Amino acid sequence: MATAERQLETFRDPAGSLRITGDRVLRRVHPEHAEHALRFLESDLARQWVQQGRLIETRFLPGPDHELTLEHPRVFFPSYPWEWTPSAWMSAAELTLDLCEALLERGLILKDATPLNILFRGSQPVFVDVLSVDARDPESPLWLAYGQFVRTFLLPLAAYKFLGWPLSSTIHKRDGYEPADLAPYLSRWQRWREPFRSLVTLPLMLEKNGSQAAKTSAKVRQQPEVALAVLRRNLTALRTHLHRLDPHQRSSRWSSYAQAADHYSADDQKLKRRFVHDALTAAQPHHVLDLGANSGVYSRVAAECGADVVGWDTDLAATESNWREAKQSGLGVLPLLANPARPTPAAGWRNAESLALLTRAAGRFDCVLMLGLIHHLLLSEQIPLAEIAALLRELTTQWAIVEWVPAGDPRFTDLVRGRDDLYGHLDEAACAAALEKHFTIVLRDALPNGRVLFLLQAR
Amino acid sequence: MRKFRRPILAALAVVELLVLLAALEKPAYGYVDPGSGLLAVQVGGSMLAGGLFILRSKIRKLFRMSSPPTASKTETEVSASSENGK
Repeated sequence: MATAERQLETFRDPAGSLRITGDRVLRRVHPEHAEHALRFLESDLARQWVQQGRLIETRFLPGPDHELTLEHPRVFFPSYPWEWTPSAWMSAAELTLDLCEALLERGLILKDATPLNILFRGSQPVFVDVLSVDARDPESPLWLAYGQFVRTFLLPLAAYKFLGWPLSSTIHKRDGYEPADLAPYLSRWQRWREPFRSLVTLPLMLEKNGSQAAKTSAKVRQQPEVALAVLRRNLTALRTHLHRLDPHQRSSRWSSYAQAADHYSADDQKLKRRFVHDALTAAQPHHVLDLGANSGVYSRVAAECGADVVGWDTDLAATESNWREAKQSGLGVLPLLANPARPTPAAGWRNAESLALLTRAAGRFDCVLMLGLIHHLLLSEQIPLAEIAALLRELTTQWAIVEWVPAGDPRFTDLVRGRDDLYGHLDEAACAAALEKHFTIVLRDALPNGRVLFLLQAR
Repeated sequence: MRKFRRPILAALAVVELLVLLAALEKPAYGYVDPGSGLLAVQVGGSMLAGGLFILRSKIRKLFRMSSPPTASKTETEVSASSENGK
């Protein structure tokens, strides 16, 4: 069989491997390659980082001689860089540089630097690949993961900011972009201006035979205090490049949707918000998935009711705004760029290194919000009502809050685009019939604008 | 001999051009380590920064060497004034 059906045990790091079994996350360690990482995990620095929520918690499990297993808590909803907003990328890059800088003092360093070492709890990045910590050669001023940091963080962010390449396309680039990937798309002006001068043009000019470069780097030796100062300077230079790549917030047709929704009067909005709040108070969910979260108005209502929330939306500007709000408010909301109609596929070796979106979501949420989305799935994606109801049932273990948009609604009419014969007959009864195959309707409320809200409980 | 001078010069120019071209030739991309460019930038930057760091500390040391009389004077002054205050 050429492909595996489940996530593989990781296999690239000689220091150890990680496997997820049910809710247990176990890391097998090869102590001869992980001596320094283990020393780090027992240090005050690691304890401080765990307390701050920036490093994953680790428990040492006793095992037979020469075998060591570490156990980590499962991060509620693992996400991948190709689902993150630009600000989430920035935040993950900052965390990587912060950790590397903090390690230098203790004679340690990060041996790799990729966004895949980081997961998110809400908008808080958490460093999870604890075996990335290694001993630092006190006389070497070089950070061996420098190139990887540039390839996997800085070049994707630069390509996004200056060339408009979507960050989601990094799903096809496990080790990021090479300078040569970007070079043909830069104008002469861009090539000689920062950040591209240091990240693309000079590296391309200096590209040589690999073994020669490795030999040269091994010869670079400096006095320990000089090497430390130079390493710090290299990290500062990377941070300066990173700050240059801070993306501007762009507007899109969805980014100010909540404020500009002319089909919703202030009263309608108030009534909808009250219904959602009351439904969440009745259901008391712990883990909420907000489908079509937009800028996160209802994600935050759910978070204020005490739930951990993951929001999926396809619009980058709206999701970015949701992320910034979540960060500012400190609420447990993780906004991701994800589409239930075209979910993120599994990726990597044998399609089994990173899991597909729906596989990760299965059984994780006890409540799903589907507000203002059903007509998009029905009319734009052409998904039948029965299919939508079936997906909803697969995504929630118990509750769902759904908004039905009737055929007379201006947004329904916009999307029908002359296909009234196909969709004009669909009404609340058709929607309720599809949902009631999987759910019981617990609450129902019709808004003055004709939209209908349901609280559903899984059968 | 004179009549061979021109062809010899022309031949030398061609050889020179070929040597120049060979020196500037980039190896086929597939056999180049793409990471080597970023490594070279880091090596160059680090050596330069290391050099500047050493230079800076030497200059500082030089200033410190020339400043001790002032420092010792200040120390003396301080101790003298503190003794006066007793």
